[in-house]
Amino acid sequence: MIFPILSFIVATPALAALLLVFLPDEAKTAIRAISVAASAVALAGSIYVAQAVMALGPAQFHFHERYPIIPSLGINYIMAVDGWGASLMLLTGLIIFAGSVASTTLENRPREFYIFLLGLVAGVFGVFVAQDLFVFFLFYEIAVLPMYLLIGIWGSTGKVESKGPFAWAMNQLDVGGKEYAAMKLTLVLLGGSALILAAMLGMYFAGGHTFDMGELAKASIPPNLQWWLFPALWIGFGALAGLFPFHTWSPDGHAAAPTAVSMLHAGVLMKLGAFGVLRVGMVLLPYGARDWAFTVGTVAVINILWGAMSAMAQKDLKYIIAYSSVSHMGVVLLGAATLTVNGWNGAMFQMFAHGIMTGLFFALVGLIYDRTHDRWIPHMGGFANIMPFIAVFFTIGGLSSLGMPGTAGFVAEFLVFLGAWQGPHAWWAVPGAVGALITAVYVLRGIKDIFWGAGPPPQFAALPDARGAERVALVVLGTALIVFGVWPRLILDLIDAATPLYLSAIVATQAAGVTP
Amino acid sequence: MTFPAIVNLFPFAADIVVLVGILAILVLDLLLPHGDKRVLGGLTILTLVVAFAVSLFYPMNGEAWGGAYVGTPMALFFKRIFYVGGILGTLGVRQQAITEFTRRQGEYFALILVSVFGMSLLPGVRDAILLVVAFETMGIPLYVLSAYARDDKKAVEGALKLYLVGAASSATMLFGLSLLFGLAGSTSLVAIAQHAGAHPSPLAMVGTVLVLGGMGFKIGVFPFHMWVPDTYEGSRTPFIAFLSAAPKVAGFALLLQLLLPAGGALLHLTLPVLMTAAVMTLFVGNFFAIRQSNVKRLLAYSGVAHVGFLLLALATGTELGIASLMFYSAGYLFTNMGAFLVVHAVATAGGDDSVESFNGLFRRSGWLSLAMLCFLLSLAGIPFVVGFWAKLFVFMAIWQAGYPALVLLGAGLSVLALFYYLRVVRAMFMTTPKSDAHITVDFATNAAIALCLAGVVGVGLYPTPVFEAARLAAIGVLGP
Repeated sequence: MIFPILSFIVATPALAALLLVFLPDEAKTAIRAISVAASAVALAGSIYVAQAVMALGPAQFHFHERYPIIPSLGINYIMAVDGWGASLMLLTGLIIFAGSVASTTLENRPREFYIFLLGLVAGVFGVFVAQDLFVFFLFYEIAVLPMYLLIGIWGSTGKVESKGPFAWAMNQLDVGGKEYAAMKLTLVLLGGSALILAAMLGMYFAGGHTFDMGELAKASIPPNLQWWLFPALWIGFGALAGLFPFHTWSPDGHAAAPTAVSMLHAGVLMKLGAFGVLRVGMVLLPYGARDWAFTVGTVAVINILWGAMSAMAQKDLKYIIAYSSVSHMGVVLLGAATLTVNGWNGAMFQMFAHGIMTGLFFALVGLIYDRTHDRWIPHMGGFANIMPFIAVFFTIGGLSSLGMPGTAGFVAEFLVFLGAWQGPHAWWAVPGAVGALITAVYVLRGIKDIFWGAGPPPQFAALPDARGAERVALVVLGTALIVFGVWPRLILDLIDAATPLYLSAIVATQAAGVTP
Repeated sequence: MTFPAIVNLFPFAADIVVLVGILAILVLDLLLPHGDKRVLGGLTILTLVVAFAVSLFYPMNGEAWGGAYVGTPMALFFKRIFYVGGILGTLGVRQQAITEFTRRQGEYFALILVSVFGMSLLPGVRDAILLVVAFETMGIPLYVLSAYARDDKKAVEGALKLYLVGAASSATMLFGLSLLFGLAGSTSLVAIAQHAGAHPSPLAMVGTVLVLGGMGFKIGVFPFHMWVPDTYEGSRTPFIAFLSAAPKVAGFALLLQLLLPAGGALLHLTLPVLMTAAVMTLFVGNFFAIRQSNVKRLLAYSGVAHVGFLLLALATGTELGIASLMFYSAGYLFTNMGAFLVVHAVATAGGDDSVESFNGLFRRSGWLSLAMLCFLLSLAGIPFVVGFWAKLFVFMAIWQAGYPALVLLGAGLSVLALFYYLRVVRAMFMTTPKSDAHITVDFATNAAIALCLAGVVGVGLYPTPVFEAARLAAIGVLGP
């Protein structure tokens, strides 16, 4: 029997969390060391898996594991990984390593924080390698729930200007408060998972009483059933990917979450949603994908523009980044909706690129907030004079965000817009590109307002730059952003080989005529 | 050597153990001086452990009492649940019985055993007369137990409610059974079902609905659920831990015996009523739970909601549905008893039953807060605790039976339910306590909570054995 490397990677954070349960609160150094070590092991494991998959052929599944859980119902524990899964595992490994390093400065109950954080990480890794729909769902839920506690306990409460006809209701609900954000996030995402569960059972019973994704792909689920199941998956998973109009949990949640959690959530968890739409929704329900592609793409375009314009209107630093995530996740969904090889490559690459970029952003925002205890941009200015290191990396992240050539963001957006142009609705590329333009406006303006201009306000004059462990996180992510921008083949080769196979089922449906 | 069926006692092997235990406790209670009576609680637990062990290793199949009782794998599965419930319940009430009812504790434990004895007969009954006898054997001790704190007005009020509702439910059920008996001319449940299946008549439906209504009181089905929160709020919490779990499961065990014979004839006859009741119970339980500020009332309404799920599983009338009901019952027992015992532990440590008394529990006792977190997540149906699997199996059964809309409804209401469970989680983890005093819990209660937690997490991680046992027990129960 070969070594179950995938289960090992999933189990490492979970076991580390279990270990932490038995450590005393006072052993803070040991707690941090164990957490960072566990995420380093997970990162090393995912790097190994990525290169092994590359060498063995990214179009096939490798490292199979299969154990029955409930044989009489066809529920199995199946793990395997191909190029798509490997690329996102690599992303998760990078983000969680950077995130747990960046959290070593946390002083408030670090033990419990790391327990929940590592539990969350185990869930995320699990989703990317699960090849049984049921296990996929299991890990998906695991990845969602710890968020409630992580945000509710360690989050921060921001200031929201309640304006307009709903101002009263917003004040009543404590919009912007961390507990409001935590509850909203949990309910929206689990509401989505209720839809996923229903669709999943539909696939199970129509696909011959199996949750095995390989068999479900071969099973012929009736097209008119697919027409009903696909939107359930699209909205259910989409809620986590920031799909308009179910995205409003994301700015609140990301703004309220502590640094490592917003890094992980915006960087990886939103990708879980988009990955679910692609891998489960589109690949397993090709007819549904074909019939709903126009709706998916059009809503994705709205996502891009709506997110970008909302970001432009914000003055709270975290809300800007959070809304930019909504906009960028729109790019992923747009790429998926094009149903072209370039579009899907772009979608997968955008997940990777945006994950690293947002991880970097939220790490930086966390550093700034730790120092200033303020997220309000008008209070800031000239920070480049006191924290040049942070300024440099913020600029790198910003340039990638607006799709500057030479950064990973450019490759992703280019591929998606290329795919859109080749797809059936070429006009999607136009609002997509306009979104990139608006991004340039708010990103550059934000950088200018925070870092440039006349020196820092007096109350912030003595703030230190990034230090030791914090720099490690920034360097890891910033370097990745440039390396994958200059040399995208490192990841694209992993993705590209698997894409045509996934797409082939949908291509076959194009010839099959209209759903009755 | 074979016995005539009328005196075959092998299907009752475990029940005989319980009977011997009851007699031993009653006799020892007379002989022991007051100071030594605390051993009786231990004896109760020992009795139930032995009975559980017998049920594990001895199949107890076969007919007895001329076919009035039939030992089946399903009966065995439920018996095990009741014995475990009895063990957990006794562990939970032990400390209170010793300190509060020092002189009367012997009877307290004996009554628990009598109730468990009644329950464990229910999943095997095949005759209306035995049904009533076993049902009352289970119920009457519960009235006495709930009124045990006779100087506490609230407890007595709760007990009176339980008694009046119980009496009304028995009367309703008896009336319904008399109608069914009149139609079929036999007290055999199989004969009644066969007759109703062959000659469906409005009267048969009315009779069945009356029986269902009578049991509905007991298990808290809409519209007979009103007494549940009041009684839970008034009575002693450790006793409620027992009352809220084991008798409910027993009620469902009995419903199965009534509705399943003859290919589920009575089930099909009353399907619209059952479905409506199930959906309404789900709605009422979940929506009324939202506004509760008392954790016991919150758990009471959440229990009503769970009964809705169990009813849905029953209404599918498929083997998968029955298996999921049995699995759900087992999971619910662990989860609910654990949750109530944590409420008890918190209330004993200078708090009350309000959500506020859970404030900052995390800082006062990490162990209790983590246990409660697991119980609440299990009630909400989150993975890696037993409640997730329970809900999943029920949803699968409902979808398989052809009601996808109900799956969506149930899943949606589960998300709503998460909202009120998270309110308790929020209080435990995100607020500051009034006092930082560490909570200490007596050994027996701690052991009960630990066992519940072991069940919730253990079955949650590896549900296969329990589910397979339920599935195998459900094969063929619908009969020819």
